[in-house]
Amino acid sequence: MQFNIDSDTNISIILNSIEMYISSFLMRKIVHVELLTLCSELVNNIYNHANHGTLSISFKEEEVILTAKDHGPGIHNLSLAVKEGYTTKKSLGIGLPAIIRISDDMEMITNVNGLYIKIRKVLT
Amino acid sequence: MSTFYTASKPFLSNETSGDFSLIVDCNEYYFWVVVDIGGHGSTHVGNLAQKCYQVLYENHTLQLEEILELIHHMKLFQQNGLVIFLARVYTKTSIIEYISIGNIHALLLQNGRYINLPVQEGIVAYTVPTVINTYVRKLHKSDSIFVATDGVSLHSSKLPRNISTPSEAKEITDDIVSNYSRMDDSLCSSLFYDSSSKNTYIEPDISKESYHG
Repeated sequence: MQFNIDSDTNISIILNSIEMYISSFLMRKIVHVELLTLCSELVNNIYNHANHGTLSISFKEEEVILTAKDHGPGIHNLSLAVKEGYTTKKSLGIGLPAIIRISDDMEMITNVNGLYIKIRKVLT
Repeated sequence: MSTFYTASKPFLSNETSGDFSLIVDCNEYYFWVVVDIGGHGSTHVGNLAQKCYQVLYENHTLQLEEILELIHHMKLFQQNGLVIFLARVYTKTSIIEYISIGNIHALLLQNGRYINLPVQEGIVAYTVPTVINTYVRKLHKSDSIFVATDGVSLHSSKLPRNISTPSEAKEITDDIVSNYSRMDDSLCSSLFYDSSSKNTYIEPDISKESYHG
């Protein structure tokens, strides 16, 4: 399932749609909460920094793969971005450190043309 | 305790190899660099390694792409060109951030599976991609990464799928250079990752700077 995010997107509606989709799959409560957190961070990152991008959610047996892509400016200062509480927008700055902590696997490619993040989360 | 270890062998009877690796301790992260200078051997490789260390130490707050740009424009490297694996291994966050340009092979062993870490084509100081990718991966306890220059034939099929101690990683690194060298300078540098541990063992260790080539 792919969700498109751009500057006209109503973030609340998108996140509600994502929650409805995720809730249709069986998983432990804690995993459900962590998945929603990951999706929320990825969606907000696209909305705040890139204006346009996509979030794909793919359930496979005992894991789910989240793939976020955008054509924004990429992450300019990664060493700052991985620090707890750091933010370039007026937010809690939970972002990247939370993504790293909550995901079971994470890989990312950033350059001047955008950002690609792929996250694997085990469901069981 | 995370462990960096490097094994190398110069081509034929050359006294020095044109390959070198560096570990630079910057408190919140380590720079981990593997370089293959163009050509076989180099009487100036010691100077080049020292210069590379200096660039990293003096500019450690810059982004990897910015550091690569500095190296790319240095006249010292323009005689031969070089290929490079330039990484930050963070001590408080379980990630490795890296740029890799040219014919350098990097393998990640994670959960019993080998993953070829992506690299980009090019020769630093000659021609590099218009768009430089910075790659980031989450690391787990007991992950191992092997980075080898093209003087080594590094194939995951020849490596064990379970490495559980730093000494095992060191032995395998030595074996890679001993048994899989090609007709070129050979170097393999490895990281055995032990979570976000600040205690790090570097071999060979020359106080704060560790140059091995």
